[in-house]
Amino acid sequence: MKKIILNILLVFMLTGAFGQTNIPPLTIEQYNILNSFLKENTLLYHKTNFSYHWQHYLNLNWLKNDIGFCLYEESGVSKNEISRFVDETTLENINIKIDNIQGPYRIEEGKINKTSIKLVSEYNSNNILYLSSPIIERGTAVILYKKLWEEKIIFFLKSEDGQWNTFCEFYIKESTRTNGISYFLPPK
Amino acid sequence: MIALTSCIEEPTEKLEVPEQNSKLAIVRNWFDTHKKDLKIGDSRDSYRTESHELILPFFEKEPDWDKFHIFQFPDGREVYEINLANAELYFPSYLSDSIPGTEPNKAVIQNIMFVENKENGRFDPVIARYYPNNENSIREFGEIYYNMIDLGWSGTVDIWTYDERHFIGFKIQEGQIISNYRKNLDQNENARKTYPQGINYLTTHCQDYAITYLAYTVTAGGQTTEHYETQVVTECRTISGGGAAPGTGSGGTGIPIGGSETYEYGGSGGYEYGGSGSNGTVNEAYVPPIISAPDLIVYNNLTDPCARKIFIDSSSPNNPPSLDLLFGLNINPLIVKLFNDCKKIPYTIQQSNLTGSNAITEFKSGGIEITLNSSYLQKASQLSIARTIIHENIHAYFIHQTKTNLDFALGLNKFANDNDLGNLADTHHELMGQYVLSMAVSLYQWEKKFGPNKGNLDFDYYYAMSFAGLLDNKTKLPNSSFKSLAGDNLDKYMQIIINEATNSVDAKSKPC
Repeated sequence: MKKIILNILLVFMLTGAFGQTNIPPLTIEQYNILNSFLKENTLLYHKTNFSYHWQHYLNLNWLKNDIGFCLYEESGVSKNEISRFVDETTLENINIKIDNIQGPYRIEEGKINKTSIKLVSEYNSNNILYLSSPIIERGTAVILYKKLWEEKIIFFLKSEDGQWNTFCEFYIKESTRTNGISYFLPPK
Repeated sequence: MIALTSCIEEPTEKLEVPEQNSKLAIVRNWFDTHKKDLKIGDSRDSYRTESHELILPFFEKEPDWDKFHIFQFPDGREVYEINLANAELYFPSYLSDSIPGTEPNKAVIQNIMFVENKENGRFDPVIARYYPNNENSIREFGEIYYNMIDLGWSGTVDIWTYDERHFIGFKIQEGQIISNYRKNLDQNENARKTYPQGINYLTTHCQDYAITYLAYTVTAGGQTTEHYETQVVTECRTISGGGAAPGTGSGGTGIPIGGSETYEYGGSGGYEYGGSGSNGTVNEAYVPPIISAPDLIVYNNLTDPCARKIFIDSSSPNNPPSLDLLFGLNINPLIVKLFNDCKKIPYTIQQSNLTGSNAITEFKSGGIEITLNSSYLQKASQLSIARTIIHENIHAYFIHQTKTNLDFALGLNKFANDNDLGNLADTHHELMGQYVLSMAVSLYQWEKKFGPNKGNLDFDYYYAMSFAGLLDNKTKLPNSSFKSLAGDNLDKYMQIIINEATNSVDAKSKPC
């Protein structure tokens, strides 16, 4: 009987360990991007999401025709001017990279600079921030940001000294909903 | 206070006066040069007699160039809609029944629309006639045009070729296109509907019926003549693949993203006129331009008749800004007009079952959607429903401005950052404190004309109602704006809001 229990425990531990290690970590460069824009006192979900619907918005045709602005720092331009910053090839390569994402990535607390940012694993708050993994294509990166019922896409550019800076963000969904916990489907 | 501005990016308003005059001058010169060629020559008589089309007698068109609207079809072609100064007016008989005692020239708007043809530089015109079907829909020239038909307007918009062949008509009910129709005398279509690429139209429901009626009277110089016609009318309601067509009231907005339905005159496949133009060109063809349906982007999909009426009454020009109170701050109709004028963002109001909210406003798929909670509509008072519609319209206004006005977008971002507001609802509700007075005036104006108390409640009551929803998202308690503006009246205002939302015995309004 003891042997059976030990075997069950062993299988459980191995499966759990396998489950953890099966989720790959983000790279240092990806952490540099997260650390460049995450704000203090954020509840951050501990894995990146890997939904694909945002690829719909990552093409110049949509960016040129959709209404709105590309905001950055305290300035901004009409969204149809985004091609000044990102060319079509870059967007195509970003889309290919999104296509190739196989699942979520692990976010590790020790690699987030701001200590007030808490990683959470439960869907128990309306204030949890969900992020895609940062998609990097040379000196350009993009991330999907989702909090409750709001979603936005953020573009980053890498400066000559290697710093990542937000240069454009725009909402793809906004809502005055304040109830319910909206989240991406948990990764299987 | 951030002032509610007109749609500064709309071509009509964007053009400076000299530029408008310059563009109009080009159209006017073109018309003066070509109108002889657009006239019906003698050779047309036999065709007119044998034709199965409905063709009205031709009269010389006299545009009043000082009364105009300039707008664009969705494909970018500019349209110059000029009022006709003619005494001649075609006046359908049914109008006499729907608006008895009304003089035709006071009720019907008759315009000529010059449509830019970018390929050949022509501005071939069509005639647009607006026939209201009730007294409340009688409008001045400045209040209605092809691309700006308000929520309170019901009637028909008839499009005729320059030489008075019936092209296409649209039946409008409370600002929504209900159907289009063609007046035929045989099976030939006068207007061929074309669809932009990528739109999956599943079904077109058409019905043909024959009618004999007093088709029109011609009034000129005090003389009136009556003309009877027997016609086949083909009326179509179109169901698009994306859901119900605009105005059909169910299953989404049916907004054809990236284009809209267009109509091509098909009576004789286009035709030519003889003679020579002033520049010596012969056989220049008058081909009626392809036209789009009126681009009405405010969709009232409320199915609850009471809520639907409250929305129309509170948000249409039937509830105009008034000068008799607080400087005419009736902001609500202006917001809906802003959407209608600007054509930038489709606006839909609908109802559904929601959890935890009386209503929500969302921006998604390029449009604004306001959703009222169906269960709330069943229990709330009329006053509460009206104030909720006004509240959601302020949200819609904020979102509209963040998409169309860079200064507003940056300002709202800064406002959120400066006040440590982490989400859209909190940001809007804090800013909304600056609009409470305008919301109260809008509520009062609606109540005065349409509400059960006819504006006889103390103004403070409307003011109290306008704080509804100004809560902190996390605590669900009054936010900073609410607390600072309401002061010692905070609890009293809260109670008034609850009374009306639940239609308690202390509510002063009445349920739907």
